[in-house]
Amino acid sequence: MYTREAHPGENLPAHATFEDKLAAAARLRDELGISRPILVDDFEGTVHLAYGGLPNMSWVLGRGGLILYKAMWTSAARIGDFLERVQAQPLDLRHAPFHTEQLEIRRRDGQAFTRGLERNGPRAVAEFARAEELWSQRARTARSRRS
Amino acid sequence: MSAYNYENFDAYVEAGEDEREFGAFPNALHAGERAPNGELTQLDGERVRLSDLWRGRGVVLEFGSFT
Repeated sequence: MYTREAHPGENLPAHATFEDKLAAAARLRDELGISRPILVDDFEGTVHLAYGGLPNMSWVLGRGGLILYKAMWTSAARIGDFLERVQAQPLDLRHAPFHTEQLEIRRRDGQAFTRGLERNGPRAVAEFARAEELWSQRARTARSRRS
Repeated sequence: MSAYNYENFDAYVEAGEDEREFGAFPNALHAGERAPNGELTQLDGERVRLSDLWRGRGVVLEFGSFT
């Protein structure tokens, strides 16, 4: 699902209209060669916000819309592992659901992400650098509160 | 320009919006619950409801933008 642009820049400012957003989604498909179907949320992000509004979440939904997997960030490898396990699950009365929850670590800034920032423009790169300073300040404040 | 379609990522972070949204995520919508339904637009302009997609099969839903 195509959402708001997380890091707007000179080459791709924040969407000003729904038509802008639809056109940006088509450019995303063409530039990155995406073959999965892309769905575009409304201008105000109604569906995106209903799922939490994060920039790169992934969800696996079973038949009828039952939530089976939710992740703050997308990892194709983890989704692949999960789907393999789901498909291997027996559906009989000797088996029952069990709920799990995990907390993992991810790299903050992969190469594809950096390319995306540069593609959107120097402002997107500079504003992310400034955000990293803000995150460092927050981490320092949190550490000093703990000690 | 709406608050949702923010123009400046650093201002979004400075306002603490990232902390609020990332902080809320673990506490809302859990495995075993029903996912929110909603209407989306395909690139050809056709509208589709999520419930049309998950009626007969499962759905992997990834959210994203250029960045």
